[in-house]
Amino acid sequence: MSTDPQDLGPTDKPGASGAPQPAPSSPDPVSPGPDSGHPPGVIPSSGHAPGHDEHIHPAPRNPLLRYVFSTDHKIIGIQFLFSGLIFFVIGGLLALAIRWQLAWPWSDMPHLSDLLWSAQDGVMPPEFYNKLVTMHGTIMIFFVIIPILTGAFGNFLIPLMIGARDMAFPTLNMLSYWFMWPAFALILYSFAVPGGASEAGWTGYPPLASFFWSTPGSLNGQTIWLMALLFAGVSSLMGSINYITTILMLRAPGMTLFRMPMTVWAMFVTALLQAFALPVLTSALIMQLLDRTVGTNFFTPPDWSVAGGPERVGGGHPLLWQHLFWFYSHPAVYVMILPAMGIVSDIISTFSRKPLFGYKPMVFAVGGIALLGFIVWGHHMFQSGMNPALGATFMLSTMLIALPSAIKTFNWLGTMWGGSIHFTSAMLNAIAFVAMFVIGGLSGIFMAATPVDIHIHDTYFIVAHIHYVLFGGSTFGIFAALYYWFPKMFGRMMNETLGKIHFALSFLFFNGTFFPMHIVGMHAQPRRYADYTGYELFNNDAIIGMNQFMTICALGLGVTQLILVYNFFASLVAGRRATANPWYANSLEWQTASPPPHYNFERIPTVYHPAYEYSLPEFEADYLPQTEPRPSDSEPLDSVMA
Amino acid sequence: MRYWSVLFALVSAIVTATFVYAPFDDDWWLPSYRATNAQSIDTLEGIQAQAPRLASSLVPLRGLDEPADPERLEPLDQTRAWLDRQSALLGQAIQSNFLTTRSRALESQAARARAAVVEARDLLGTPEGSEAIDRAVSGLERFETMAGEALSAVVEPGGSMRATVSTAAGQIDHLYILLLIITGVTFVGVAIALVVVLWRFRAQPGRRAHYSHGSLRLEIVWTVIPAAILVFIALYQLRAWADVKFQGTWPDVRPLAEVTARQFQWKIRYPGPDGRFGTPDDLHTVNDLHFVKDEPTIIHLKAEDVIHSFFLPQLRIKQDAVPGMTIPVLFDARKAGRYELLCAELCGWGHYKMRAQVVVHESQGEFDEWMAQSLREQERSDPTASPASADVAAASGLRVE
Repeated sequence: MSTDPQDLGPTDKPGASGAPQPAPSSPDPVSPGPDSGHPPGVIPSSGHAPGHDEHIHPAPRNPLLRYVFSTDHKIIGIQFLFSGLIFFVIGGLLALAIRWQLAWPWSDMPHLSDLLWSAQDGVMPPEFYNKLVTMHGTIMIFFVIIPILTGAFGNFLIPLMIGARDMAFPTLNMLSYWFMWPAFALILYSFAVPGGASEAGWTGYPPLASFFWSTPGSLNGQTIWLMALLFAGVSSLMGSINYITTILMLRAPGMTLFRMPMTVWAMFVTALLQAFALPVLTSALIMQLLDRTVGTNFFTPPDWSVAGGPERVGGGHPLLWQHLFWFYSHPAVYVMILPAMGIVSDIISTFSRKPLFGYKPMVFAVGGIALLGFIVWGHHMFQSGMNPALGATFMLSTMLIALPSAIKTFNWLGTMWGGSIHFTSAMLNAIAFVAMFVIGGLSGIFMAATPVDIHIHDTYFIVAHIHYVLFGGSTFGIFAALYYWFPKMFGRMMNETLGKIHFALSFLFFNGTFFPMHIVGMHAQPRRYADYTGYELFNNDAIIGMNQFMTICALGLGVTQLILVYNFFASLVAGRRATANPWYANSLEWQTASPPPHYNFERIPTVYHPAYEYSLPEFEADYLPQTEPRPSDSEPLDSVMA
Repeated sequence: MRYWSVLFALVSAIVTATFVYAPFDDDWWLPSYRATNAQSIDTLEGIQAQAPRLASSLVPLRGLDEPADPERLEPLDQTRAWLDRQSALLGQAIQSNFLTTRSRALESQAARARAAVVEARDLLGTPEGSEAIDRAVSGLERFETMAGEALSAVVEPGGSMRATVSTAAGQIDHLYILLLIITGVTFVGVAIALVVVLWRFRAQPGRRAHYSHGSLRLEIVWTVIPAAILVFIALYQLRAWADVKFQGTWPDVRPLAEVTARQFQWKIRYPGPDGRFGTPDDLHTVNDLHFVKDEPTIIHLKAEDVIHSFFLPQLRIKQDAVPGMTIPVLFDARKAGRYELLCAELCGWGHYKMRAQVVVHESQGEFDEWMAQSLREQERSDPTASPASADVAAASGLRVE
């Protein structure tokens, strides 16, 4: 079932005969790419000899192979998108339940309380709150943000943006999606086992996580949680190997590394991060699984028992888990933000009609973040009992990692400066990404400063920070990507008016939900507390009032997403038909039909320049696709910036 | 189109205003001393404010040479009732271990003043009446003075309650405010730039985007300046981190107690009068940590089951308690009074109610007195000194409604 172009028969070669033609529905005067070979001075970067471009598989006729067990990266991307969005709804509902409890502790949740806890007079038990926070974090990180950014957009965009017909390993790609299904099933099933879902936090710290009797969720739920994460991790690993290989081997002629769009660069670096960090998480998960099931003691101190349970021989150390877990999970933070950064860079450049400001510095910044990302994990452990001298070194590397993020922010502003900004839904969400990422980045400096972290560690200040990065950053990035590439994915336009309403309300409610968390966090309200009102510190009108305000905004934020759901599905069936290049963008995915044919491109395009040649003074049109050469009389591109 | 920049400006302005307002509100700002002592401070402030008024209402009763009609006795009755109320409030302060020595003294002064008032009421109209009134007035004045002294021990001149209450808090808050200023200025700068960009460079017919790929000079500027600021912050904070966490910088003091965290309580063991752990005179308490004002205090932190975290928000101290490790923690408090100890690391279903009270005594004498009293109670309840029964009592008493 391989779609490797090389082992194909000579049949079914669309566009193989006759003169090269522009993409069928392309509205712009795209000059056809050169017939074969490469423009002078351009080194073919594809692993294929030029003559092999023409060999392509037809799409499978069997609908099961075409739409379900598909090896087509576009279908797999869309599958990841739908699964991710479904889990987004689940994770969001868990978040609303958390907020409800914090605003009105132990009060009835409408309809839910009677349904779930009729035995306890409709009052939620405190351990269920811990399940809520654990599963909200786990689902949002491992089942929503990572799968949507890398699984959905990475899969869909990488081959299209580098001019490949598919991923390097299509079957592995299919497997990477279907390995998510055991994870999906397990994580949902864990709510139903005796003791219920895991309650050890999304970080799963032992011994709370590894001793059966430490809390109800550690009875069975934690085992299932570990297995679910294992499957998700293997899925990500398969994906990342595929992305790295594809980007290195299957680029179209002329697509040198420094002509790749930022999205591809970000996906490439993300895949590297995953490939190097995930094995560590996988080992850690297996170690905890062994601790729980066969009686090893990797994370158990000597002669230890919890909650009157049987004593274990021990000999391990609880901090070992934290080191292993954060060695993956800190890079994972960048796995969740880098693709969004790449996406936002492309969108901002497109809708500012202006070349990306400092393309190469942006690439180096992404690389810098990735490198530094491997030596900052200890900043999650400043108060953990780790040697404080080690904390000081992690503090230094953490301070330094703020630098590439700052550079990127300034470059985005530089891109918009002097541009001609079109406020589409995609652009608005991308701008929101920049604005919110500034807040999330600046609040990060507070926790990087070790003495200040003593106070704010494990408070709502941290919760505010992660949500400004992961919702304000990644999720607005996902929204932007959805509005931007929806026409390419489904061949129809989304409704812009609804998109803008959705954006404005999301933006306001998002800030209403998460900004006050800085304040209550500064006032020391701890995270993962089912009820903070038993403390004199927090039992006052200001803290309770702010929590209620946040909950109301969170409910508003939740309801606002219905606009997106409606817009998504309504546009899917009845949206205006999209042209090949509705945004007049330069990168390769817009130089083929919307949606792209099974084989992506009529002919493998040839690339002449980076994706950011907007508003060239020599042309009347304000964009120049990568498939068209720059005018011969124009100045050569700046070798440092572009 | 142009209104989108207004949306971003609006949100940025509100966000900035929130942090500008925060320092002016005790319930918004970093947790202060007042949060856990508000009731007792209110009591003292009430005494300070009301006592002079009541005293001056008694003065006209001097020199009365015949038994007064009941209307004229009204001030005496009011004063007595007020003193009764203050006694009850001071009783609550003593109960909650707020400045116990001072509160006890105040309570007995209230009793003395009340006795003087009652006596004056009886003697009113007799030759001794005026003297009795004088005694009542001076009793009230003394009451006021003592309350004032107690207040000045915990409230800064000018009444600010946001002053830091520990050495660590002094250093950490200083850094926090510095970071707030640096990040605040950065945020406002970036927000203004963003809003200006969105306003000025919105797409307009007839205007083309500027064709530019960037500027090396700008890249260098906005790499070097943030780098310099970040390195400055990194180096500047090392001192505070070392002072709080590096044992080499700590004063040489004997540990005050051994604090063992377990689901879901804090077991605290003091070495007792002989200063040695593991002897029969060890004092075991549950969810009750006592130490002395202005004394650098070290505890040895342990965990008995899962990971917990020792969090004193008002003193800006946090340290995880890790199974298998004994971690020393240094802290102090500049003000006597009551504080709260929280668990800051998810430790199971009862994590949210793993609260302990912290009492800071004004003097070593007061601490020793509490220690002796607690040891007597421990002896009385169970000579084998098993903390188990206390555990059960504390666990059930802590249930949050």
